[in-house]
Amino acid sequence: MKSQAWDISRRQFLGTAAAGVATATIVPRNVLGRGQTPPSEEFGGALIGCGGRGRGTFRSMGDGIRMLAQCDVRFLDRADNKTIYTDYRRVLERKDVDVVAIATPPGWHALMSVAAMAAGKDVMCEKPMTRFISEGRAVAEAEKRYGRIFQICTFGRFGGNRRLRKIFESGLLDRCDTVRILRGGVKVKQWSGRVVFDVRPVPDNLDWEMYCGPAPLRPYHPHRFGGSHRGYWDYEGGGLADMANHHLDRPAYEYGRDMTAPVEVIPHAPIAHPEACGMWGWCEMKYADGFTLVLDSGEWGPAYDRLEQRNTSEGDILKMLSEEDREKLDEMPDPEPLVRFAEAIRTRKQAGGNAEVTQRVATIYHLANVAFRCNRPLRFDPDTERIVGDDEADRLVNQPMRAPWVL
Amino acid sequence: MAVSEELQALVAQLPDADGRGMYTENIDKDAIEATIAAMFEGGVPFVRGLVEMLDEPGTAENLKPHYALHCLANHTLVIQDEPARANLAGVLCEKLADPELAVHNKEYLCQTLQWVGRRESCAALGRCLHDEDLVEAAAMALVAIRQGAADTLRTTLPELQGKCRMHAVYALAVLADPQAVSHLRDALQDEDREVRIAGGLGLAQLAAPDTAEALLAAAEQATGWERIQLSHDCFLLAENLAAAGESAAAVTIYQHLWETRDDEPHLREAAEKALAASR
Repeated sequence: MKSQAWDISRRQFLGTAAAGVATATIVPRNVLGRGQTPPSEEFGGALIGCGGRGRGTFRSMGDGIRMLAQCDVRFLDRADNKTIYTDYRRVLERKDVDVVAIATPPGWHALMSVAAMAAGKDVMCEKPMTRFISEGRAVAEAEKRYGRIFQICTFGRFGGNRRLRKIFESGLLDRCDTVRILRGGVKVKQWSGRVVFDVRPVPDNLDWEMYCGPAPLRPYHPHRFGGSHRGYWDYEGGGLADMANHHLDRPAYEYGRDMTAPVEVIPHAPIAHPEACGMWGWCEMKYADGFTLVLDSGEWGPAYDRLEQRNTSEGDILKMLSEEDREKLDEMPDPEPLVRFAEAIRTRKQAGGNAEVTQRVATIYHLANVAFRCNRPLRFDPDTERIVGDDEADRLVNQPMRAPWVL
Repeated sequence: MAVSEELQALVAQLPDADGRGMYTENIDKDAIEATIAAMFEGGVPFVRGLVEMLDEPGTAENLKPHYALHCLANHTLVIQDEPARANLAGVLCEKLADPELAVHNKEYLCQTLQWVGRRESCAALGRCLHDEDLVEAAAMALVAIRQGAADTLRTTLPELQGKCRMHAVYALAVLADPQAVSHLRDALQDEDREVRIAGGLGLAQLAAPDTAEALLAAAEQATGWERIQLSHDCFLLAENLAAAGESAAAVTIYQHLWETRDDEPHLREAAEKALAASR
């Protein structure tokens, strides 16, 4: 089933990103406090996680970035610690690396992003940004603390309706009885994990310990590696965590759902397996302002039928404002166009898909996954970003990591 | 002890893996929940029986008892039956001491306690900190449980060496145990780089003003990855101090970073920005 939300392709984005590079303001980097090279010149880049989406993630950063280092846990047989690495920490120590593309399994994304920004690098991170909710707060704080550029490698919001966004940004809308239903497109069955598997020897070229990283050191079997890692809670969160950022990025921008988080979560799914991601039906999430967001997988159980989709258009939402408030809205400036990564790293303006908004988008699908795994409704506090009144469910909001990995 | 036929019959009712070795076909929520509810009625003997049915990871023989134990643990939370949850956790703790149970299955019990354990599980998990094969899972469970975990870790720490000690120091750091300040300060001087980094993190989390000097000095002496991490911890400490009302101590840290990080302009800028914000 085709998603309703995703209507800007990576290719379209790259085209416009290149245009962004061409029109970027030329300001010497020393004025910006980042050394002596003017921004019209080349940036030193590194790619961490070279399989799957890796090359695409690196290219998403735009032109003018020279690949200085590639790092992957599969490079044990070829690492020279000059251009080829297995340990990303060595890459981040390099002063000549300005920007980092991160395309490892997502269990690593937050750790690497925070460390990269602490080391002064800008970051293009493959989606999802995180594996669980608290990680995202650490990434957003690091972005702010170190003044770095962070962009998630999905770009739906760049095609979003800015007039619709303006209504939600204006603060004029106290209540919103919109019901938005996103159906399908989350590859639930495709990105499930194996519950029966053959334990195999670790391949000679693979640093399995490093691959597992903050996750438990499991027995090796190939399905945990190389794309199908998506099916395991240790590394990601199934098709939902893998695909939902694509589908939610634009509506989260348009409906202002990247400024807050749901307060009630109602799941419908069979009891989840403790390690392998599996099937789920739907999840209904309510926000404090009355907005309801529904994710319906279309892959398990009966279709969601508790509410009908309603009041989703710009016109519908404008009608929720009084005449007086509509006039106030007209007088307000439109939201600024979103800044693309290629422009952001040169101008030091915050990127459109920055860590703060991405944290709110990721919270939507992480919360759904927590509810599926706990098999019960949850209440969430968007301010503290913790689950309310359910300590055990809250453990999935801030999960322990295997030392020495910690945020 | 032999597993009852009734339990075996219930376990057999849980889904088989599909052709891909997954739980993606013929997954009947109502049937699974009815089976788990029936198992729940069996109480402690059924929990014990499920642990005894666990097998090698990944095998078809392991699948159903493995899944059942998780479902049953979660069921006690869904129905909010605290005595049942405590009884289940108690069996898992008891089984952690069973010399006949395989290490991989004990790891799974730690993982289940990470999900469902509370204060009463800390002592049993603490004993696992001595075991290099179990320390990782036990430390993660203790961090998740939080309540009572720091006491266990602090008490056990002097008895631990090497890998086991490293995991315990990290857990104490993450838990930000106020009584662990001296342990974390010592950790900052450890021979093991990973332990030093854990010490820095813990001190940053604890936000004790009198630790700033030690952390700044350690960060300044460090190189490479350790320098990145300990410098990051200096910022975290300053932020936590400011949040705790210790603004002067926070400013001292930012000032120091601003004055000493000429070769790390991003840190100098970050310190400058923080100083401006604190004025």
